[in-house]
Amino acid sequence: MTERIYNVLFLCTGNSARSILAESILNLPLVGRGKFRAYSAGSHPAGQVNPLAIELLAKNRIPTDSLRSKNWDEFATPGAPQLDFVFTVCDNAAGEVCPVWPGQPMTAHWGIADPAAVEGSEEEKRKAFFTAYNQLSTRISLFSNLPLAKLQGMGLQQELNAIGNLRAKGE
Amino acid sequence: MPKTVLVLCTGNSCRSQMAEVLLNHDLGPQVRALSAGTRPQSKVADGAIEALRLAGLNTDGLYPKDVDAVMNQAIDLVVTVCDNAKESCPIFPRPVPRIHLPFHDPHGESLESFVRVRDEIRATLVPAVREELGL
Repeated sequence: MTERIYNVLFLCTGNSARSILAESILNLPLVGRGKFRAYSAGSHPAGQVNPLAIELLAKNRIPTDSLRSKNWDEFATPGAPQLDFVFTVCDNAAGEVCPVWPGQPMTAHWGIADPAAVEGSEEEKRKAFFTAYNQLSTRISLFSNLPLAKLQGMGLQQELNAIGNLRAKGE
Repeated sequence: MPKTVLVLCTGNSCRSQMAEVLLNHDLGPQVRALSAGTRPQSKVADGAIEALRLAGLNTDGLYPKDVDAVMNQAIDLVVTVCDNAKESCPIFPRPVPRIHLPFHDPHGESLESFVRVRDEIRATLVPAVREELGL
């Protein structure tokens, strides 16, 4: 039996750093394993992908060609991919207003700090991007590893929430 | 009774060590994972230790060991994780079910590279083992 392909949208405000990294990680063949198609969008898109996000991905031989900062409106139009999962990766803890996606997809909040908001030396900024990459990659690999065909409803929601709670558990 | 999984590669310093820790964390207590290599390195790679710690995983007691050290154990599944294209993969000389999942060797590369391989192992190897053992 072939499992279906799940459409996953990563949302934040700017769609320039965190959600872009998340989309790229889940689309890696050995992470998504052909089970997922990942997208990203923002409620107030910055209009361009952060150069340090591109640099980090390129350094890891992760394709960056198709990445762009875009409005979440694109996923609310007729003909847009039918979304199965929507994950918000913005940081309410830092007072960011996270967009809310209504309707049917399973949703969860996987908030992490915005690496693009870090001020300091180039080295400190790069370190912040690496931290975000590490946190997102951990979450996404745990998500990809879930036995989705067996998990449903509340059980699945609990797993998705648990992934988002890594931060509260002292990550 | 937990199933015992042996993860094998050549050096037992990067990929097989990360796989051992991830399997024990994600599938324990149903699974007990071990790792070994045919030419064990002198120590577990710093990048592997750091990448595991960054994912909140315990790295106590990890050390590279020769496959001879685990030969007496009852093994339910062998997983080879080396990249055939670039290295020769070890054989486990006993009739045990075996799967092969090649991963890039991050040895000597940046911490990002270890993180990437860590999570590729988690996303690919962990579910493959779960399925193979019928868990």
